[in-house]
Amino acid sequence: MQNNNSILSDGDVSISIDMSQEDEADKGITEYAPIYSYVQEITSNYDLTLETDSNGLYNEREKVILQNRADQMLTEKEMDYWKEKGSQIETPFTYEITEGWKNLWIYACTVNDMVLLMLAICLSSVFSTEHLRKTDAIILCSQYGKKHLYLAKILAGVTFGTVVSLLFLGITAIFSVLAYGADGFGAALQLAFPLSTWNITVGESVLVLLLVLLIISVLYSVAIMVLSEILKNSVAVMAVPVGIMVLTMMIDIPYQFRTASQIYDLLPTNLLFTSELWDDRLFSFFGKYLINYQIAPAIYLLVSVALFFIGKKAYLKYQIGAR
Amino acid sequence: MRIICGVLKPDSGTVTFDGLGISSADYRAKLGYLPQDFGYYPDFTGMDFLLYMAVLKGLTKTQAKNKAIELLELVSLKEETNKKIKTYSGGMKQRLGIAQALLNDPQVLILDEPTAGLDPKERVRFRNIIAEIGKENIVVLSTHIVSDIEHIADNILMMKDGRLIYQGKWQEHLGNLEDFYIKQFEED
Repeated sequence: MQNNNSILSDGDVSISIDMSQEDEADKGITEYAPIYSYVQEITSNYDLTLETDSNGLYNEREKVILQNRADQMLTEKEMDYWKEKGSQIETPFTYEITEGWKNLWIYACTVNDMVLLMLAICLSSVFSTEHLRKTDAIILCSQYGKKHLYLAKILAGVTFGTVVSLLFLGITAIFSVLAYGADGFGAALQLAFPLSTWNITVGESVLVLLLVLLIISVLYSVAIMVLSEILKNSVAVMAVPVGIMVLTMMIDIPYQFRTASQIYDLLPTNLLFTSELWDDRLFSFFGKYLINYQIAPAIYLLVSVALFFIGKKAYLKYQIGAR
Repeated sequence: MRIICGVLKPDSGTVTFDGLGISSADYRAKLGYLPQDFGYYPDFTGMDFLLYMAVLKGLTKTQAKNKAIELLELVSLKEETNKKIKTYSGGMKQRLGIAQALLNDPQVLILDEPTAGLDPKERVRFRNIIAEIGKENIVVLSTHIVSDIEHIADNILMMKDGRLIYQGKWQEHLGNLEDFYIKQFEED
């Protein structure tokens, strides 16, 4: 940058700056800032960030991933699994801006909490209100007031839950894409989250996120409505998911307790943290290894079905005593 | 009454109607019930409430609409059709309860204190409606207002402490039913 200073006749100093050179400097910062941020996601070592070359960067990435896996106490077989998956990832990465889609993963946890709160507020009275308003007597003795109504209410609640989650994630996506653009949908996931070893694109990961969120909303909806039937009090129903949400925010089980930590991270309130994208702990299922985003939705669906039948049993068994 | 309606399980024994168990949907299709403590949705209008109940009773949309209009007229709530139930008086709510019990033209009508909260004129009107329904169908009615049953009941079951103390047609030689009733309960 070149400064031209001159003293004017009345003693004032005039400073003129060569703007073209400053623009050049700004341009350099703007151009390299995204790359700098990307390197910083792999290593927080400031010197290495400034001095590393491409080989150094890939080596550093590999080193951090290996350290991560060691912390997660991966077995030999799990290591082999990821080694094979890692070999399928094409390098060198071609940089693309992925912020618009990456933000969906970053805000997924907040969206998840908002969906849970919304469903807790809206669905907690679906069954309890019948007991509170004492309409249960005339409903349960009507032709379709038992099996049909239970199924209809559950399906309506699940539909509402999925619409809410679609709406919340959709709004987040619209704002994120409007702010950062829709570039990078077809880029490798490693450009958004360099420590992940998933061999998929950013766009595919967003579709996985959408699918998982929809399944989580099904679980939330069914669980809240079943609690509504069992507890017969909407405030008590709301307290349960909110309590779980707050507890999971405060409690974290370290990797050392591998089984407990792995199961805990499968809770629907924990699954959408971005760190789960590089949680390389696997589940062995009849000799086949499944990652958290494969096993968790299957478990959620099974739990939803089990809860549906538990709720149905409670609903059909309900007796109206003296009031 | 709750046992007959299938919302309370008996400690022992069974209840059937024409061979249908009370837990079957077919039996519930023939049943109309007005509980003593009639529940409703305060923010529904009278029409919305009847339409909702009609769906649960298996009526089609058109049938439900026609039946709801007919019953709202029968229970003198035509003017209040589109008003929210929370604005209804106690008597109006009771009349709405009677209307919902009649939605599916029940063969078995269970009415628990149906005339409670109604003014004397309305009570007489309902007594006549119930008597009319009772000609073709089974109506089980419980009440503390003895004059209501004296005029319409074929069979009287009088209960005290959960036990029957009188069963059958009222015998004129026993005198006035109300006096008999008071006498039975005065002994306490």
